Amino acid sequence: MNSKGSAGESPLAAFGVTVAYRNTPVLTDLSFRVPAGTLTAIVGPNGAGKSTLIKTALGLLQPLTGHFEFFGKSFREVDGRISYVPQRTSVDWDFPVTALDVVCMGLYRKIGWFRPVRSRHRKRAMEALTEVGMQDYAKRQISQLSGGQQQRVFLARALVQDAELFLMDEPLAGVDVATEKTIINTLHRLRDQGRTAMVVHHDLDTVSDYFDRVLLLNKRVIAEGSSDEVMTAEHLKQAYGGKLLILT
Amino acid sequence: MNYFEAIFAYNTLVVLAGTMLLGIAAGITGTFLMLRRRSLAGDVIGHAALPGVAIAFLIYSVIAPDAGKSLPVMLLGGSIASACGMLAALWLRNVGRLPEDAVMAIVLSTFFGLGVVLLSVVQASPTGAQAGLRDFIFGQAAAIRISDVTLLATITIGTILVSNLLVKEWALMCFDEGLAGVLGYPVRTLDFLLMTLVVAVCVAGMQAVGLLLIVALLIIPPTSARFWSDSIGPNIAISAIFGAVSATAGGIASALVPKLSTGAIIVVAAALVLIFSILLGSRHGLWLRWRARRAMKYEARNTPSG
Repeated sequence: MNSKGSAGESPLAAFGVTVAYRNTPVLTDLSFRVPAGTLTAIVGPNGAGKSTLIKTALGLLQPLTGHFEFFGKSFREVDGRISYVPQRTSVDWDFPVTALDVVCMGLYRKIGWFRPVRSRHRKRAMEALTEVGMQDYAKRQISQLSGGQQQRVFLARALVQDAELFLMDEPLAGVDVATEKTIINTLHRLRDQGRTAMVVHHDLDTVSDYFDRVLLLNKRVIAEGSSDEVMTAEHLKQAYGGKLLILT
Repeated sequence: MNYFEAIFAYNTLVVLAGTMLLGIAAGITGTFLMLRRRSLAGDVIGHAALPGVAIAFLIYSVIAPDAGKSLPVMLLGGSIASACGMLAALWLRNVGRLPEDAVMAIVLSTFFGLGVVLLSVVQASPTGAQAGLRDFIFGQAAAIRISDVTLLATITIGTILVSNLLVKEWALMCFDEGLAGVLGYPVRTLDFLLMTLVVAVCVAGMQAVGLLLIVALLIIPPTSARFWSDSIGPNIAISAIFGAVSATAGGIASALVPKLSTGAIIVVAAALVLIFSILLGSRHGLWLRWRARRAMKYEARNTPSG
């Protein structure tokens, strides 16, 4: 682990991004800047456009207007500096790969086109699996892992990429307590190394404990800033409307 | 002539070589198609080829009225029509409001319907060269010539080379497109390459297996292979072997019984391999489950309850 995001440029910034599925706007005029070396939670009700935000940033969806910048550049110019953890449910877990194979995927870019995965790559992948406490499951086909274990494999895959910006879609959804702890500790360690993470998060109770900053979303940016500033009753009411009855 | 001599006759060997090569290419390509969850796309590509074949035949018979029919020209027409079918499906899907399976069904039946209409036109034409054109629908392996084997060998060797080079990139694209994009891989280009290979295999297999059933040769062998291994490399290899075995079985049957529809025999052979794999597969076969359950039952019975 060596590289760090340089201070001046934001790892991820949105400039007036609007996204629509056919003719329904999903995100409207989104603008924000994520400071380097912070953990940001993306919070909002179902259908607020949280996953859409990440997918659009990664070029999987095309915005209607606006654009994203990574470290002051376009997505295509920064490959290798970004790591992505998809929603666990978006992946085919019957795919014929082992936990170790999945972690190795994070190294494909370093291995290079056309070249096979070698033992030194597997060794590196094994180290990452050990970091997340999954070393004993390396040879398992991935459907034979629990939800929390699958999420840890994804985390290990993100780690081997040695990226500076981590984008994660609900890594804490449906995982066990131990996995949640592992993921949060790992995120904190990455932040202390100067890296940046943006994480879609659904548990309002833990947002302030786990994250420095919050991007509160409901089809547009409701509030953005430090967790304390954002997680107020007023903002949450704006984002969730009548759907959220209990506020802590 | 007894059966033994029939199998080793020169013509038969040509047919066997052709079908075996086709089975290998389809088994390899089909593995990625299955992993990409695009099994039905193979069906669209196969069916959509028919109008292309017919139009190519018509155009060629106008340009060169005395030349009979030209296989390369018809295969080219089939490829173009298949590509059009895929593009039509993509476009319809992006229009929205149409579920993906409905889009596939609409495109493949419309193109096939159009193909049948055009075939009727061809049939009514006075050239007489249209004989055998219907073999494209159900396949006639006995029609494979040595020049076709050369074409099939080229496609098979190309398939083996490309899939060896791109196994890791294609696997990544099939498993997690998002990560592939983040890592800077040109996902669209990789996808296009894979679909091009699928079209090539479909069109090359049209003559032997027929465009109705070519999808079976693409999908059944990799599905069978899945019961024997949990790693991509072995899955591809096993699928290639299963494809070769099924296709060769069809080739042999076609050589022994000339009127037999080769494609149908190949599909039935592939299905038998699938049933065998479901029951006895060394990784996910039913007998493993049965054995594990019996062991559990035994243990439960012999564990004192109090």
